[in-house]
Amino acid sequence: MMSVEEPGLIIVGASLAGLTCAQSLRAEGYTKKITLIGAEKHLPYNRPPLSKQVLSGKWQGSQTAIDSSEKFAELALEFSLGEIAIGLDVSSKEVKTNTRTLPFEDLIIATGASVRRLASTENMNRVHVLRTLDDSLGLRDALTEVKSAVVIGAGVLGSEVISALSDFGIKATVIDRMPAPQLPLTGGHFASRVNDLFLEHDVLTKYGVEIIAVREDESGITFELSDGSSVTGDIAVVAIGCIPNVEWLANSGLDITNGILCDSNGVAAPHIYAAGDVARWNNPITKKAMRLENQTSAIEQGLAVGKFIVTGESSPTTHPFFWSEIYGNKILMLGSLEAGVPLTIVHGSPSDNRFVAATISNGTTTGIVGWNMPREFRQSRSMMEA
Amino acid sequence: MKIRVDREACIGAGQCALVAGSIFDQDDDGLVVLLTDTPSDEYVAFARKAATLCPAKAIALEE
Repeated sequence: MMSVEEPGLIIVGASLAGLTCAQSLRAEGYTKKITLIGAEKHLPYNRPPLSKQVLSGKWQGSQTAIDSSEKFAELALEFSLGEIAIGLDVSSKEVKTNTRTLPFEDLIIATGASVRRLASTENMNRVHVLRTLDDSLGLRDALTEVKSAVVIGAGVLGSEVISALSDFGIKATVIDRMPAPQLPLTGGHFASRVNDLFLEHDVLTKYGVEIIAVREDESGITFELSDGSSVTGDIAVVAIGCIPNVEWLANSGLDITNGILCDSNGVAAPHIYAAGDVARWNNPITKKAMRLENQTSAIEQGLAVGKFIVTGESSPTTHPFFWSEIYGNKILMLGSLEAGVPLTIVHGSPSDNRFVAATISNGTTTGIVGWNMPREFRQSRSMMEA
Repeated sequence: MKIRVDREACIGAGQCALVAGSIFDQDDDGLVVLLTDTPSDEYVAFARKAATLCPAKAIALEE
C-alpha cells in the first residue's frame, strides 16, 4: 500500500481537465498516490450542457455528471472536495490550502476559470451569470418566471442563452461592445449569419455600445448605453467571458499572465504542469501560447500531461474544437477560421443552411466548420491533417 | 466490455467514429450509432479511447 511519507502527485482542480489527468496517469501506469483537490462541492460535471440541455429544461442537473462514483473509486484517488488551494511554494514543492499544507513530487494545476462579472452588478438580484451547475439551475428557474431578458455579450455563450430565451417565449435584447456577434475561432465569418438568426427571432440588438450605467429596481433592470439609448428587462444574463483562476499563484513565480504559461507538454516549471482553461500552452506550429477554453482541449491536455509525466513522451498537438447549438442549428468548429480568407465550401450550401466550409491559405487548411452537417464535417476533418 | 451510448447527449463531433470506426458510426443528423455494443478484445482499447475523447461524454463503458 502507499505510504504516508510518499508525497505523490497533487492535482488542483476537480473538473474535466483535472479528472482526465488522473485517468490518463492511471491508464499510463502511474501507481503512486494521487490527491485531487476541488473547490466546488460537486463531483466533476460537464459544462457544455449547462447552457444547452440543462438551461432548456431537457436535462436534470445530475445528467451532467462525468462518470459514476464507482468509476472514480477505480482510479484510487484521494478526493478532497470543497478544499481551496491558496498558495504554491515552487522551491519546497508544497501546496497550501484553506485547511493544510501538502507536499508533492509532481503538481498538476487545473483550476479552470471563473466567470467575468460586469462591474457594479455583482450584488444585483436580477443579474445572472452562467458558469457552474448552480448558475444554470438558478437561471433556468428564473426563465420560467420572466417575460424579458437582456443578454450582455454576443459570444457563443450569450448566443446560446439568447436562443434558449426564445424556447421560453422571452423577449430578448442583446448588448455587445463589438459591432457584431462573435463565435470563437471563426474569424468573424459567421457574424452576419448569427445576427440574421437573432433578427428572425425578434431579438433587439445593440452592438458597438458601452454600458454607461446599470439600475435595478422593482420593475426591472435598466442599462444605459453609450449611444444615448437604454434597454430594460426583467433579468439580465452577463456572458462576457472568463478569467483564469490564477490568483492563488500570484507569489509562486510562475508566469500567470492570462493563464499559466506552459511549454507544448504542459510543463510550467520542473514537476509542475497545467491543463485546461487555466493553462496557456505553447503551440509549436503557430509559435503562440494560447488559452483554449473548450471541452476537447481540456480532455486532450489532460491526456497529454498524464502520458508525459509517466512516459516522458510528447503527444501530438491537436486543434481546438468547439460545438454550439443556436436556434437548433448545430455548429461544429475545428481549428480556427482565418479572418479575411474567403470560405471554401466543402459540402452542402450555405443557402440551404447545411454546409461544411474551410479556410485554406497557402495550401494549408486552418479551420473547418460544419453547419448542420455533422457527418460530412467529420469526414472533412482529414483536411486538417494534410 | 459492454458499451452504452446516450444519443440525447451526443453532439455529433464524430470523435468516436474517427478513433473507432468499427464500433461507432453517425446517422444523418450526426448522432452516434453503435455498430456493436460488445467489442472484441482487440477493439476494447479503441472503445476506451473513444469514450475518453467524446466531448459530450455520451459513451459509457461497463467492464
